[in-house]
Amino acid sequence: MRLRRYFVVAAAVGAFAVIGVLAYAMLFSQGHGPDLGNQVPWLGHKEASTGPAGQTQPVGSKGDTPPDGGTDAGTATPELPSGMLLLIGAVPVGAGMLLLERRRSRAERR
Amino acid sequence: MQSAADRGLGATVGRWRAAGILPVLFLIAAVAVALLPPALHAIATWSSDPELSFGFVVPPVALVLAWLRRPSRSDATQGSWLGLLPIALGLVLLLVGSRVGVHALAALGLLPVGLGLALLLGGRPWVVAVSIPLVLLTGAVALYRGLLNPLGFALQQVSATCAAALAGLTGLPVTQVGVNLYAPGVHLVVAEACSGLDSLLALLCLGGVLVGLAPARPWRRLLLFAFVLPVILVANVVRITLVLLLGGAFGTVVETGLGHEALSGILFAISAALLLGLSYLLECPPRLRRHSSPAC
Repeated sequence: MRLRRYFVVAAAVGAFAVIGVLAYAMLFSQGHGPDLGNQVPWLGHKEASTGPAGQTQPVGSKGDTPPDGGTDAGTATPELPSGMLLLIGAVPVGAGMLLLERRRSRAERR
Repeated sequence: MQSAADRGLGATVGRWRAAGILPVLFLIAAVAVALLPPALHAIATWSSDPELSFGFVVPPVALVLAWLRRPSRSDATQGSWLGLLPIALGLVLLLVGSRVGVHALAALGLLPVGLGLALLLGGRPWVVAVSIPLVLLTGAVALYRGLLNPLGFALQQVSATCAAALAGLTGLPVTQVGVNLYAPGVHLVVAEACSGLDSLLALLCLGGVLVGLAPARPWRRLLLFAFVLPVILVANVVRITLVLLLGGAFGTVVETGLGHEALSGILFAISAALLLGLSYLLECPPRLRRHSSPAC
């Protein structure tokens, strides 16, 4: 019981820390926040640039010069569309919920 | 002479009129017509942007969720005329949003209109029952690409940095230049489509369902929902790291082909299962059967 409580506290701190880090990165990638030369030192960024649609893009998108001086454009590794992912994710979640519900009702019957 | 079908229809309408259902049906129909333009715009957005394609799944999911959270007969109360206030507020939002051409603002009107209808027709228990499904639905209808850009950029940067660090820990020499990752024989770009935003939106939706079905304290449900972001970030970092590690040996099959799509799907399924497991660890497990104190 106590172990679970420790886990909950540690997990909560971790989860909100990750959210904080992302919020920090969001602020800097948009050029907001305190003026530190628009740098996120630990992310290795130089400065934000403006994309063709007038949107700010993070530095280092396709076309940046590779370290060896070549011109390789690189390969993007896109995810599946969110709709498909949602359907895929619904399978284990739905199955898990049904299974646990069955176990619970069996336990209640006993 | 009236046919049997006409007589049957007439009798049904008569029964509805006697039960006071007709005005309610007219009200629902009028609201549906008013909400049609933002709904059509949302469908066009979901069709054109793969990141927002989860929107197609949300309406049926919201319906099922509302059904599972429906109040029991013992909780049934009379509707309240106070429901007209949020309906009016929602219609004002809808009108202003349509007038100034801000579809997201018009779509936000869906939430007060839905809650108002629930209060008007079913009372507080129904407001509680439809609140989370309506939030999901409003989120899906109101979201647009520009709103997600800052989060997408942040996810790109953090994912690239963490993946480079993780791959480095396994002994793979990785050089990071912004969102470009260079390893022997591999040059990956953690582009917008690789940021993890698709997974995040899909898991947020699943998280909303889990939270909606969990008869637990609000802070536990909030904590479970907060876990969606870290879970997705870790899954995306693992995905990019695996592509870096395997890309040198297997090439484009792992980077962009069917193999990569399978990897993406498997990792998301694991993330979804992990979120379900977390709900049990946080003592916030979802229940399919109706519970007496549904989520707020």
